[in-house]
Amino acid sequence: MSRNPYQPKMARRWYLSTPAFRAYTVREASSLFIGLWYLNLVCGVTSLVKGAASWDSWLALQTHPLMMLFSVVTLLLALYHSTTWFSMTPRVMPPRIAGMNVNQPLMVAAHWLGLAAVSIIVFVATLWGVSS
Amino acid sequence: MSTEKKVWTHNEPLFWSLFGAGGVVTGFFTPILVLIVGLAVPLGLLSDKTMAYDRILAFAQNPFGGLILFFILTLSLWHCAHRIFHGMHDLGFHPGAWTRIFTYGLALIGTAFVGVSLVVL
Repeated sequence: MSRNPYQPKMARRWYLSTPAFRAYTVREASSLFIGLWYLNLVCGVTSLVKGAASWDSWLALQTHPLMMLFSVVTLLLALYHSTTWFSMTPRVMPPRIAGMNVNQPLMVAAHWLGLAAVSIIVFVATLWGVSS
Repeated sequence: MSTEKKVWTHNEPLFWSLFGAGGVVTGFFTPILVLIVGLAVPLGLLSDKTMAYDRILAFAQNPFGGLILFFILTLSLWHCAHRIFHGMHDLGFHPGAWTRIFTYGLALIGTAFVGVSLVVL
C-alpha cells in the first residue's frame, strides 16, 4: 500500500461544471419538485376525506400565486423527466428481445405516443359529464 | 438450479423496483395532472365543476378510481424518494440510515395517508 495514495479532489459544484452534468442535475432535481407536488396531492386526498369545506380550501390553495408558480415549475420539470425517462428506457433494456433487435427510436416514439394518449384520456375523463 | 433457501439480504432491489415503476407512472401521468389540477382549474381555463367535491369524491370512492389514484400517487412518491436519497450522494453528503429513513419515510407516510384515505372513503 503506497504511503501517499492519489486522492482525486471532487469539485464542490462538480454537478454544475459541464452541460452533461447540469442536465443530469436538472433531471435529479425534478424529483424534488414532483415529489413535493405529489405530497400536495396527498394533502388533497386527505382534505377530501375531511369533507367538502376542507376540499374547497385545498382547491383555493391551488389558486395561490406561489402554488401556481410551483405548478408551472413542476410541469416543466415533469416534462423533462418524461423526456429523459423515455429516451433512457430502450437503453436500459436488453438489446435483443425475442430474437429481434430493439428499435430504440421507435420505442421512444411509442412512449411519446403513449404520453399523448394518456393525456388525452385523462383530459376527456376530467371533462366527462361536466355541464358548462 | 440451486436448492438453497433464498434469504432476503438486500433492500435496494425493492426500492429500485418502486423507483422504476414510479418513474413510468410519473412519466406518463404527471404532466397532464399538473396541467389540469395545478394550472387549468385554478386559472379558470376549466370549469370549477370538474374538481367539484361530489365528483372527485365519487371518483375516489369508486374501487377502480381509488386504485388508480393510489398507484399514481404512491408510486410517484417512492420514485422521488429514491431519487432524492441517492441524489444526496451526488451533492457530496454521504447519506446514512437517517437520510434513508427520512426520504423513504416521507414516501411511506404519503402512502399511508393515501391508503387510509381511500379505504375510509
